[in-house]
Amino acid sequence: MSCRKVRSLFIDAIYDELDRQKRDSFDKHLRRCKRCSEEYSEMCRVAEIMTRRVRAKPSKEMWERLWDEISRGVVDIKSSRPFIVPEREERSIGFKIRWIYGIAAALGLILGGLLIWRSNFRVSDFRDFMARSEFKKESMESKDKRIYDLLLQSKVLILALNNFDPEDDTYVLNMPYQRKISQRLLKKIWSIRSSSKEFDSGALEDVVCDLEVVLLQIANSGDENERESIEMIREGIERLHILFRINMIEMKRVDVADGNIMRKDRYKDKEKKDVG
Amino acid sequence: MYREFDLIRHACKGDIDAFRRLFEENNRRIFFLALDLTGNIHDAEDLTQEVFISAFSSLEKFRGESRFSSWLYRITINLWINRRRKKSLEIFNRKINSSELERMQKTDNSSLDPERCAESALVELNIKKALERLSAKERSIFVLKHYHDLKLKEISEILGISLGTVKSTLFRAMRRLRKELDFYRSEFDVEV
Repeated sequence: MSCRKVRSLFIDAIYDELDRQKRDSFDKHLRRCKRCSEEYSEMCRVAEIMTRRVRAKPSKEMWERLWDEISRGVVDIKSSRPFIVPEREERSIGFKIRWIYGIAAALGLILGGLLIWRSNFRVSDFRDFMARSEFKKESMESKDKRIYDLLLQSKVLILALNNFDPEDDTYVLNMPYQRKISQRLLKKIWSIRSSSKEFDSGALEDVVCDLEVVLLQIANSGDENERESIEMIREGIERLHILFRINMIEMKRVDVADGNIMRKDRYKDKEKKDVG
Repeated sequence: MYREFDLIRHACKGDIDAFRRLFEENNRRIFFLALDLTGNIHDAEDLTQEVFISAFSSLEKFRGESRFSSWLYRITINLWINRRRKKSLEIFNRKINSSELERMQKTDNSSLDPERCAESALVELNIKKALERLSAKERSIFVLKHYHDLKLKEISEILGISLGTVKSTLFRAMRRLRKELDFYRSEFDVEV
């Protein structure tokens, strides 16, 4: 045991709050360390001196006097507050009444509201309105999702072409498969166009148009001179900044908490048009 | 313990007799703590009175998580610290005058011979002077440990501080007391 540790145990030792094991190591240290031993002895001496006082023994009269004063104060408190802590049972009556009033008032308000609503609106109108808004919402959400999926799939395809090392063999790219995918994606674009003529934003429509060009290039690339075709496609991708624009759309979508950037863009475009 | 709980429950409902029983069971320890803290009988009486009245008015706040006496100890220390803050230190660090010493000798040590009485009064005076040198926190902890024989853990719970703080404060208090009592130590050494 170190001197520091022993000193931290002085208080426990003086007041006999050390367990047997610690007490043994404590005593062992004191036997060999003169400095700690002297300091501990002095502390014990102080404790002993402080115990030498003769405690006052108040007389019975003093307690009586004290109680008289206290009881006077207690009576004052009691008179100012008829009950200090009422029993749960006693309190519960008032408590229940308050609850009953509260519930009755709430029910009355709900009933009143229903009556007013029924007199002014027809249920069928409300249902129609709800159904229309739900359908609109669903169709918009599904359209957004389709365009977004299309952009992501195209991005994967374009990345493969963009990252292709011209020194590698072209079979690494598997161009027949890339052509097949491009055709599928083109079909998706045409399907989206046929289902709704209007895009959510002008920027999005531009991206989709440019993407269509690139996909057409890929889909129509021939088996011969594959390397030259790939170079041409890559130039097109670079010139149109397709990847960058898709990334921007993706980032915007992530930024918006509900992921509905397309709808936001549409509003912005409309605002621009209005201002114009 | 169960009886004490019953008494508290009855006192909560305004039963003064039940509260008197609680007072009788705890008056000594609270009075002596007040005496150790304030250093004179008048203030100790006032403080004890204030503690019990305050305890009665806030009895519903006692949740029974600690002993009732521990709760009273806490009230005593809080009230004493508040009083110290409010009133000037002069009142609480009042010097023991000769009449007070005389009074204590009369009430406390009637069975002792006059020489022994004077000697114990002198010891009392020295101890009081030494205690007055301690800070409020040091004095509270020292008094609770040394004169009320509470466990260190219990003191930490009463004062709402860590066990380590209790030990370190007590260690500091002991060191300060050693310094304060250094002048008188020779007298004690002669006696021993």
